[in-house]
Amino acid sequence: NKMDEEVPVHVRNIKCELGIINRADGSAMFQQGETSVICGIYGPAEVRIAREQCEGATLEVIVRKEVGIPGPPEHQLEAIMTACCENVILTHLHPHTAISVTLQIQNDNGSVVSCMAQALCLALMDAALPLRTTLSALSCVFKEDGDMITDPTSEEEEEFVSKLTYVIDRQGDLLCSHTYGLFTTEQYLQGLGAASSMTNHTTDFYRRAVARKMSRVSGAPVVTEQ
Amino acid sequence: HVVMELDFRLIFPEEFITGLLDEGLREDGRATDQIRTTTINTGSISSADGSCVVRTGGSCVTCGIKAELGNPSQNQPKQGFIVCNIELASVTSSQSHMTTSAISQTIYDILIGSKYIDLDSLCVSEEQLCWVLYVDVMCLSVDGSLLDISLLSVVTALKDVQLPSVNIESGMPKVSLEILKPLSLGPLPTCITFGLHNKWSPLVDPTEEEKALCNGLMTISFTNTSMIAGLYKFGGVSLSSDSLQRCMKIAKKHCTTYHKLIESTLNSTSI
Repeated sequence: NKMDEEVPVHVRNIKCELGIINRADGSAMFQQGETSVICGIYGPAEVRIAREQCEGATLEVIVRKEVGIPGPPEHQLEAIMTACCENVILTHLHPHTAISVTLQIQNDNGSVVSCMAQALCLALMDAALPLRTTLSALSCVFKEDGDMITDPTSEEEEEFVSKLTYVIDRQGDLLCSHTYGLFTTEQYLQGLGAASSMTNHTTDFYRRAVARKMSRVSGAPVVTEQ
Repeated sequence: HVVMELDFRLIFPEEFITGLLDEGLREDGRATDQIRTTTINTGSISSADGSCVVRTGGSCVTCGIKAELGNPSQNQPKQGFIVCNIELASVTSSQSHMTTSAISQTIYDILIGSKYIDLDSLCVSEEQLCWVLYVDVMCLSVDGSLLDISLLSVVTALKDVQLPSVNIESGMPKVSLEILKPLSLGPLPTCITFGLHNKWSPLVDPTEEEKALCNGLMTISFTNTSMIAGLYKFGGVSLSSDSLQRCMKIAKKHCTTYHKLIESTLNSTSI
């Protein structure tokens, strides 16, 4: 079982804060190293008739980077995150509603897409939305000489030949994937193996973060560090 | 009997296609790992510097490329630009997560990331003058993965581009329209989309209706040097490493078919 093999994968220290946006139904800030993303979830809420679906909730995902007007790169990430949500949230339990997700990149010091996926998962749990599975994610880059660096910083990302991000479900299988650059089949599978082996590590962290939040009576945001 | 079949198809299209797919059959008789026939014509738009029309099943897209001279940006003084834009004609219908903006970005990423286009080669004179390629893909009808057919049209149209040579003489650009050179292009990327569903094996090159029934899509792009230029998976059923490897093999085989198709199209037009 791929999850039993504890392949040592280097990742930066992680930290999260649940309930950081008090007006949202669910929110989380997820930070790995210096990269941090805030995710806010609003819903299930009223939906415009034009977008209403009788089979399930309508999902809207917005990705915002630190500065600037969102453009095609953000729309591409929105497509991936929307697809993530659709297959993770049990939308058929909330027909005729809208669930709105906003992902704000606070600071990008490398591996921002995997940071986004994890912030999304924590915010979904904070919103107590029913989920099919939890997500874990890992970014890695391959350099010219074929070396793999996992969870790269911006500096490490500069010298890459290819940049790969994997979003993995609880069983260790591939849910979403985003890549840039040229790589071989073997390199992709190498990264996938590393990402799958992270599943337990990430899920333990989520469990601690949510447990800490549940054990607090007040509505104040709760910080959990690795 | 034939009349009843057609009525059922008309009134219950989803049930019809789902019923077939549950048995591992597809409406057009293809196997789950087969692509449709594609035809490409280049040089269709005479006013463009490079163009082509691609048809697959019910999909039809045209790509036109216009080259203009411009100034390099201050951040990248040795690079030219390529601007990709996908437009859906108002009569097309396509439901998908990927907005045209997201598809434009993905095509740009694949072109630059695979080094098919080297932006340095578009620079005429550092800091002063560079080529700007405006790549416009107009989708006339969509019957399946827009990304596959758009990327195919873009990479083929780029092979069709002929740019006049430009020199700087005493500080002014001098364009020689008689001397035309094609672009210097790297490894050729094309891509294949799979429709993913819990019960069926991944459907290669899904039609629009098959796509609507799937709960996720995965696109794999191979270059003609057998490297992967992009692997985008948009949710859908999670794939184990084995299923993924099978899909990669299938994608590589079909991308090779596309590469040969492009080559034979260009060879036949140059005769």
